[in-house]
Formats: sequence, structure tokens, C-alpha cells
Amino acid sequence: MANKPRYGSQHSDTDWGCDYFEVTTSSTTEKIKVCHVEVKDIKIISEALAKTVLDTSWMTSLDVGSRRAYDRTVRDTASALIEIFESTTSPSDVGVEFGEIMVSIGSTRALEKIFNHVIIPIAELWKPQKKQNEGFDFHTVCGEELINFGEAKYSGNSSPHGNAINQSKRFIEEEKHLRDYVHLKVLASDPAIENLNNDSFGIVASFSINARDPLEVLKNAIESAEEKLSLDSIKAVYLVGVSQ
Amino acid sequence: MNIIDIAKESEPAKGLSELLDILHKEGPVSSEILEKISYYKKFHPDIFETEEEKIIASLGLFYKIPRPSNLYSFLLSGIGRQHKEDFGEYLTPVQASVRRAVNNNKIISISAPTSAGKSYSIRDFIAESDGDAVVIVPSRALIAEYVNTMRQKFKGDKNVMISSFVDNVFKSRNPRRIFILTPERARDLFLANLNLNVKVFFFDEAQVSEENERGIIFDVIVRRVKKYFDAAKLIFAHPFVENPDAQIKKHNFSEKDGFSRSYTHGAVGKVFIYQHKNKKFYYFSPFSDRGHQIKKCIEHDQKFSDFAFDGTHSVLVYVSKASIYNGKYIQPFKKYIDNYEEIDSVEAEEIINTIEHLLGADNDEHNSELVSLLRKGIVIHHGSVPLEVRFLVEDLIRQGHAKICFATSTLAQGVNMPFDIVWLNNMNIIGENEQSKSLSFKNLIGRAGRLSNTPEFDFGYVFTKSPQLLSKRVNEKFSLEEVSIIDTPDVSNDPDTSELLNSIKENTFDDDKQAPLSKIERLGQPEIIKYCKAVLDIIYNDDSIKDNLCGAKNEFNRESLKQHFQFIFEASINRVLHEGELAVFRQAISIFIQVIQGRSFREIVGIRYSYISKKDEGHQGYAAFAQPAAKLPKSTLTNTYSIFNQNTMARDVSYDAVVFDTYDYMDQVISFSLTDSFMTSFKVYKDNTSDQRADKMLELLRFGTNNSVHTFLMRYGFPPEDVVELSKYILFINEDTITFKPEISDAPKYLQEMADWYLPE
Repeated sequence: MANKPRYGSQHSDTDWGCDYFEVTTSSTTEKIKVCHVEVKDIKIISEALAKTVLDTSWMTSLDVGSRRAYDRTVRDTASALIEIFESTTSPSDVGVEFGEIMVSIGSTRALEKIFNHVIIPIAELWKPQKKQNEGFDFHTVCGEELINFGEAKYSGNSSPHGNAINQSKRFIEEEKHLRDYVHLKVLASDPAIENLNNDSFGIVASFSINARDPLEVLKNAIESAEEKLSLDSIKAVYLVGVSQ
Repeated sequence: MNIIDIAKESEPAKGLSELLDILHKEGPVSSEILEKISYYKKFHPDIFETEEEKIIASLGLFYKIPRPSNLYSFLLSGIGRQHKEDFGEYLTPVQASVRRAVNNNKIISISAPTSAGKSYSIRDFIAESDGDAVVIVPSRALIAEYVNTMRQKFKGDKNVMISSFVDNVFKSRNPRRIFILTPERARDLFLANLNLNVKVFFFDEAQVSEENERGIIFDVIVRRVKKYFDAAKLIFAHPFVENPDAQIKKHNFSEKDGFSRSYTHGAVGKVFIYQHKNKKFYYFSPFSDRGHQIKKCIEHDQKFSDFAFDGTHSVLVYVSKASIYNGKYIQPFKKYIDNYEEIDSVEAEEIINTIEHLLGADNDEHNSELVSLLRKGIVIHHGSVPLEVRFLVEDLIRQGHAKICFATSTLAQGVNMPFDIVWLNNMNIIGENEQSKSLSFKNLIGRAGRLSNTPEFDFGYVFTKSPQLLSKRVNEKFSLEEVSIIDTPDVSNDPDTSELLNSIKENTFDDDKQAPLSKIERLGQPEIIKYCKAVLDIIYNDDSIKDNLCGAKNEFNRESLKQHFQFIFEASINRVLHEGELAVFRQAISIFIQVIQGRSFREIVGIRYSYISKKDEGHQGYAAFAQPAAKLPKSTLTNTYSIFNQNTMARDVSYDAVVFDTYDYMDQVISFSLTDSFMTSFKVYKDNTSDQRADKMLELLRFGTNNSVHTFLMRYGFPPEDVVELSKYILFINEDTITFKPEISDAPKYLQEMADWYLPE
């Protein structure tokens, strides 16, 4: 049984309006590494996300006028997104999708800042999503040249680490990670692919945290991961909690 | 990727993903992309459905998804929400772009596919502007469509008056005036005493500038607008034109004030089908090289005609006018039509009954195939169907009651009427050259695919028997000339039109008399003045017009009128009429004589039908001779011939053919070809004689009546067919004001609705 973890080093990210905390643990399983993301300003993430779509769309470069309106469009769209995300009265698919993206982006950035991971770009929003074709949500490559398969779970009122961990476990068992092979072969380094070929890889289970004491949630997550992600081929397990 | 690649793709998600990437970054810039999307929907419906909302969002059709359910669509819809905030509607990106262009520039020339909704944006701009506005469109059918949509736009606004000719009535209210005019009628704008404050001119379907005759009239209007309304904003709109900037160059507008753009973005997909000589039906793409070769096609899984005419689709069948007249148009489809049930709808029934009445087909002896087909949801739409009936037919189509619409090119010319399927029974397209044929053709097939409000990607089908010709037409480009036809020498070698066109070019056209000075001189000769007087002496001989013209006792008067008018017209065109022309002319005057006696269209058709079908002889023997209508003058019309061939039995005379031909006489011959000439003649006559009866004759020529209440009602914008009924409720009417009797509140609903705008606030 793990002791309650403690906060370690802190990194601030003004680009995405987040703070990232390393979390030290006394887990008996060395391969488990933990961090905590605190979203300080959701407006920044929301605008950044709106930009990734609007910036590349034909509609914003149709004429001078559409270009001129761009900043206002981004701002208003981001506000509308936050509104729908924070609405407690009408939970929506859009809000949940945004929550998951926020968890994905927060965790990959945290892994980049704290553990020096290389992020494999998240599939563009307009392309068919994995949701229709079950699989992992994002990928990183760590210093040990392992591809880490990431699963992001969001909930507006709980801390779904159980879902993230269980789903990761099931996907590995069902070999869903191998579905991404073609895509990864293009984007990841050769040694990382080599490791994957040799059945060595990592898992990232990231999840939103809705609790007064995030460390308590992380402690539970560690215990669950120790039990469920103990497979030999899983060389590393990253647990990332994301709170607002 | 061609059709086969898409249809047989093992991982369609991958291809769809690539397509979404292109759509997201470049937009629906070509028919080819929209065709590909259609094939994904067709061949991979399951995966397509999961991505459909994103596709709709990436097309910019935000109004289809007011509440997006995925993040991508939600974020992109931010643009739509902004349009809603800025312009009050979920405009598409192209519509918004057009709107910005119109807001921010003085001279605007744009091109966009028929279904892109450019006119919609411009209409909204006009609605939100102040000052008077003029919309110039090429046909009377389009005028009526614009009048209807503008009236809807301004519903309830009593300070905006929409008129289809230039006039200055209702001075007491002094409303903002919006004129919807043809280029010919637009000449009246330059008459001195109108005191208009026109701030915007909208030239829709401005490619008319490229036509030999009308191009001159059109360009002259543009030049005069430039000169006399130099502060006004000018907007030119075209479908499928490569270089809309040519309109700016043609007339030396300042390029710095100008904006031009050709938008190619579409919103509806189209797939193409053809029938091979082997009798099988194939999907083919006109965008791929030799796309009709079987190895590049996918076979349609059933007989395409069985699919198209199963009664669940709306199909536009393009046929020739000749086949409608001779009845052959229907033969290939008869077996399907025979299986259709009659329409079961109260509202459709009402419309059909109105049509039946207007055509005079509610008489037991008048069998109208047009009406009986309507009851099964089969409509006929072409230029010889009376305009009023055409609008009712269009209502039936819009309400979704039409399974098949047999149409000639009239429907394609700007009338906004989409179908699930366009079935090209022939490929004969009228046009002055290959370019203009291609443009008309694109307009025609542009009717395939109905843009719905539902959150679905919409696509339609185009069927042809000539895939190669279709591919050629689809891929042909249309470019405007950069030099105006006015500045190009030798445009017409037809002596009948060259006098008019030269006078317009040389500025020797008299606006008041609406004729070249040389023609005015001819009509002022003493002999012609004498014929004009003789006409007036017959029509205004103490008694009523009817008493002077009706019945056997007045046969001599009628014959005299025909001859007097003939001499006047021959002086007008400066030659004698050929035999064939004369037959048309005499029939036209005979119909005109009935019109001015107060006979309705249905009555006139009834009289003609009785004569041609020999009713008095019990429909025995062969049909009587009847020269079909034709525009006059027509130098090739040297001989007479009958509309029904000589073997047609009297009992087999088609009532509909008589309806169409009679309407052609009223529309093409009397209104279009003769009235202007006679008006000029009587204006010249008045100048020479000061005979006040000339004014009454002018009124009679313009409105078909000398009843002053009736003419005022028409000038106030009421439809001619309703003025008799309405006049019962008029207390007072003059140029300043119109006052209804209190009894109007007990009038039939349609009259009350018509009168409502004119009542005080």
C-alpha cells in the first residue's frame, strides 16, 4: 500500500495557462510516475483549441473581412465553449469532448515539461476520431525511447482514474495499441518503434480530478495502477491528474 | 480517387479523413469535391454518418446544425454564430463574404454557383439599406419571383413599396421604392420627373451583357446609371463566370472602388448517371478523363429509371418544347405515371382548382392534360404556361407535391427550384455559342440536389444519355468579354434589329417615345397619322369599346382595325410583313381586340379552342388552321403553317396546346412584339394632332383597359387579374393616394391580404 504522495517540482506554462507539478511517491512499483496538472486559466486552453481549428479553416481566409474578424471569432468561440463546458444544467457531448481534450493536452504538456517526453501530435479535430474506432487518445515518446499510449478520461463531477486505468488495461489486452502502429511508424523514432516491436511500451492514464485533496485521488490511482497495470510489457505507467 | 476507388475502399475512414482534411483547409471549392463526398455517403453510409456533422460544418452550412454535437463542429460554428450576430442569419461563409463585399465597396461584381445564395445576401443588404433601390433581372418570370421574395422580406413594412415598373404613385405615403425591372423597362428610370433617390442598383444574371441584342440594351443602362446616378452602389451578380471583373473594366469603373470575385464554392453534391448502349445504368464522373468508360464507372444497382420514378423523388425532366406540344414528352414515363396515386392534400387541391379555373379547364368540354396530370403530382413548366399558373405550379413544387416536373429551359433560367434528380431527356440547349450553352447547361443541372434544413449532407442525381457531351459542357468555362458589346463593331446583321441597336449605340434613341429617331420620323408620315386616327375612330366611337367591336355587326370594324394596325406596324419595321408573319399578326390583333373588350384569358382560350376544334360543327372533320405564335418581326417566317398538322382531327385538338399558344400570343406577340411599336405610334400621333384620345389608346395598350380605377390599381401594383374584384372596394384612388371602403374588411381573405399593405397604419 502506497503512502500518500507529495508535491515535487513545479513548472508554469503560460502558453496553455497551466501549472504542472511533479508528484513524488513511495510506490513500491518503480515504473509508476505521477504528476498533477492545474488548469489556471481555462480561457487560454479554450482559445488555443479554437485557434487550432479556425486558423486552418478555409473560412477564416476567405477574404480580408473574414481575416479581420478572426480574433473576435476566436474569442467569442472560446467563450461559448467555456460556457457550454461549465454549464452544470445541460451536460453536453461538446463539453465532455472538450474536457477530454483538455485532459489530453494538459497531460501531454506536463509529460513534456516534467519528464521530457516528445509529444506525438494529437489527431486533428476534423478527422474521424478514435471514438468511433476504439483506441488510445494520444501518444508520447519518453527518454527511454518507449512509446507511451495515453488514455484521457474526463468527468465534471468525479475523478475517473478508474476508468482511465481500466480502459488502458483492456486496450492492451485487446491489442488495440497495435492499431496505431501505421500512424506511429511515421511519427515516432526508430528505436521507439523497435521497442514496441519487442513488446516494450508505456501507458499514460490521465483523468480529471474533482476533489478537495488531489493527492488523495492520486494515491488511489497509484494503488489501482499497481494492481492493474503490472504487465511485464508495460515498462512505464504515467498517472496524470488534471484539475481546474 | 475515382468512383471505383471510393466504392471499393477497404478502409473508407482513411479516405474520408483525407477528404475532411481538404474540406477543412480548402472548402467545397469544386463540384468534384462535392461529388466525392456524395459517393462516400452513397457507398459508405455507416462511417459517413458518424462524420456527417463535421462535413456539414466544414461546408459552412451552419444553419443545419444550430446545436453541434461535437467539438470540431462547435468550434467552426463560431463563424456561423458570428454571422448571425453581424447579419442576423446563419449565413454561409460565401454569403457572408458577398455581404461584406457589398457593404464595403461601391462597384461589386461577383460570380457564384446558382445554389450559393448570393442573391439572398444582396437582397438582405438592400433590405437593410435606405434610399431607393433598383433590381434589374433578365426576364419577367424573375421579376415576379423577386417581387414575391422582396414582399416577404418587407412583410408589414408600409414604408417600402415594391414595384415591377417605374412609376410614382402613392405620393402621399412617399415610400422607399424598390423597383424590379427588366433592362428594357429600366429605361423609364431616366425620365425627368421622377425624383428618385436610388442608392443601389443590383444587376442579377448580369451575363446578359454578353448577348447580342439584349447585351446592348443592358450595357447602355449600365452606362446611363453610371452617368446619372454616379453616387449609387452597383452590384453585378452572375452564375459560373470566370472573370466577373470584366463588368468593371467594360465600363471603366474605378478599380479602386471595385471588388470582384468568382466564388466556386458549392453546398450540394451531385452524382452523374448515364445509360450505356448495353442498356445498363452507370455512375460516372464528368471530372475524370473519359470518365464514361465502363472500366471507370460503377453500375447502378437497379434500373435507374425505376429508382428515379418510384414516386418518392422529385424529378425534373428536361424536354423540348416541341415534344410538349406534340405530346411525345410523356411516352417514356407513362408506365411510371400510370402507377402514381392522386395527391391527397387540401392545399394542393386548392392550387390545382385555381389553375384549372384560370386555364378555363373547369369547362366540361375542355380536357386539359396539364390539369389532370397535376392531380398526380406531374407538373409542366415552360415559357408558354401563363405566368400566373407557372407561379402556382412552382408553389406545388415547393410544397413537395411534384413527383415529376417536365420543363424546358425556362425553369433553369434563374428560377430557384431544386429537385432530387435532373433527368436530361435531351441535351439540346439553346445558346448563342458553346460558352453560353455551357452556362445554361450548368444552370440546368444546378437544379439537381435539394439543400434541406436537416443536419444531413444533401446530394442529387443528374441523368443523361450523352455522358461525353455532358462532361464537355460541365467542364467548359464561361468568360465575360472585357469590352462592352456597345464598343464592338457589327453586332447584328439582322436589319430588323440593327436600327434599334444602332440608335442605342449612337444615342439617337428617344426615351420618351421608346424608339429610334428614324422610326419616329417614319411614324410621323401623314399616311400613318391617318391610320392611327382611323383606329381611334373605330375604338372610341361614342359607344363602349365592346359595342364597337363585338359581334357579327362589327366584323367590318374588326377587319379594318387589323388592316390599320398592319400598316402602322409595317411602317414601324420599315418593310411589309411576310405571309407567315402576317398570319401571326392578324391572329394577334384578333386576340388584342378580345382583350380590350374585357375578355379574360380563359374566355379567349375557349373561343379559340371552339374555333380550332370546330365545336359548332360537332368537332367533325379536321382541325381548323391556326398559325402558331412567334415573335415579330421574324424575317424567316415567310410561309404560313398550322400548329396542328393537317391530319389532326378536330376532336383531337389539344386544349393545352391552345392554352400555351394563346398565352404566347398575349406574351410574346402582343406584349413583347407589338405594344411598344403601337405606343410609339400613338405618341407620335399625339404630337402631331393633339388628339386627346391618343392618351386613352396609350392607356389601353399598356393596361388593356380604359377603366381608370383598374389602371390605377395596376399602377399601384395589384395583379391585373384581380383588379376587377378589388375595384368594388375602392373609395378613392389617384396618383397621391388609395382609399379603400370599410367593406374591405368583409372581402374574401386573399383580397384583404392584398389590400392590407395599402391601408393606413
